[in-house]
Amino acid sequence: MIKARGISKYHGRVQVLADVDVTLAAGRSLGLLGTNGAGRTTLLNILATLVRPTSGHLDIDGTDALRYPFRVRPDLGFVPQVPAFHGDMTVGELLEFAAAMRVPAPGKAGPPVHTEPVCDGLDRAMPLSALSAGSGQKVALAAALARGPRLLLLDEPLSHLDPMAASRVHGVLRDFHAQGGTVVMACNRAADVEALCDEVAFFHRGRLLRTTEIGRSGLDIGAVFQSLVQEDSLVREDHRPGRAGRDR
Amino acid sequence: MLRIAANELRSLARDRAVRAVVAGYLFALLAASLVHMAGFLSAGESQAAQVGDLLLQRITSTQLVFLAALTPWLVLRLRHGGSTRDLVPEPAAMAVAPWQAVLGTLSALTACLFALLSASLPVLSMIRLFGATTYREIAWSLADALLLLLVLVVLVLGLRLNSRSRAASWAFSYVALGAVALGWHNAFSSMDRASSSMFLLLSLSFLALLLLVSANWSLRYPRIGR
Repeated sequence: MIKARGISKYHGRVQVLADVDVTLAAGRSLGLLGTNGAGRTTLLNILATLVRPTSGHLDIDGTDALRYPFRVRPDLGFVPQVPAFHGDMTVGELLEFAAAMRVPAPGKAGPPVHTEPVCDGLDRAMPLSALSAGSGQKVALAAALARGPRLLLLDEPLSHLDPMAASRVHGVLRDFHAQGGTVVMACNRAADVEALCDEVAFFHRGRLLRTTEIGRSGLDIGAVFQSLVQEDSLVREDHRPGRAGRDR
Repeated sequence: MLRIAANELRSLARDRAVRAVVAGYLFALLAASLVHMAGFLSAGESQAAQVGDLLLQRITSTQLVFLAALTPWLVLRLRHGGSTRDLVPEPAAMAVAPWQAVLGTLSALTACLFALLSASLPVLSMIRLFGATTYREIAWSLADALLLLLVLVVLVLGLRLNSRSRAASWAFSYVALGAVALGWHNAFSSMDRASSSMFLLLSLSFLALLLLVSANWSLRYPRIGR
């Protein structure tokens, strides 16, 4: 489903992603775990074809996504960390509009998922401009699912949710994944990645440190992440310019 | 595309500022029409035919001036919540190609301007009752006005999609309005009516095609989150 090779991204002179390789088969789910500013949001934006990488190659479902972004976008559902809505629409209108934008080809539509639990308790007549951050995340996820995508790209979808809403979103994402949907999600909590993903990719300062299967018993993701970050920090410290001179 | 057009029209209809400006336009149009008609009715019998010929031209010109001033504001008012490049609603940004989204917006604006132009139909129909003009003349005048306004819409939409800031969009849009007015004046003074209508139609087709092609570049990487 996703084959990203040598993805690098510079913002000016600052490198935010360095030579990242990601491969994910259809029907699998990948969690992106990393320190703040590790480049996970940039990677998700690149996978969603909303940002062009400085270098690298991205193949989504056999299509060169950097060359033909419009061909792959209908298959993608993207939920940004802070969704930007057109405030004059209501929740119900956005969901209806998103459903009307559903991928038309019957063979290409993603798994049918009931999105009602995501928006449970939300007034459908409420204007989008009046939503809280958590409600905005729920509506953005429901709108992304309503289009029937096959690949869901989520940037910290649970960060503003209360425990009950988070539990309902967990259920909907498991349902989507169980029906063959592919998920890539950036998370700050190792427990969410453990609960929802088949694989985890650890990021630190723009580099992909390691990708690991979660199915293996006895794997403490939090501990692995901590040790990888410490190891990477030490390696970087050793390679800092002038370091060798000071050590001497 | 129709969904996007319906969405844009709903957004315009909900905007209080748009409703107030449209009400002001209708009031001004009615007042201007009455002033012109009073001149026609008070003219002597010998002058009536001459004034009647000018009446349609005067009313449609006044209406065109009002709408030409209003059009850039209306285009820039669409989806006024964020940056200049947020023309595409969020679910549509992923589901359709940019040119389709822009075509939806263009369709919404065409419907809106057609409705605003049609507001003068009752007054123009009354002029016809006085024997001053024909329905063919009325339809031709309104079609010319619509084509001219659509040329302006396409230019302003193109500027909006490619401008880096809202202030630049505003400034360039009113410069475009001046250029279109000048071009229209020159075209109509040097050509016969059929030629000038054809010139407008060809200009609109060319500019609309250019807008739709350039939209794929301008909106290639749309912003759909903060």
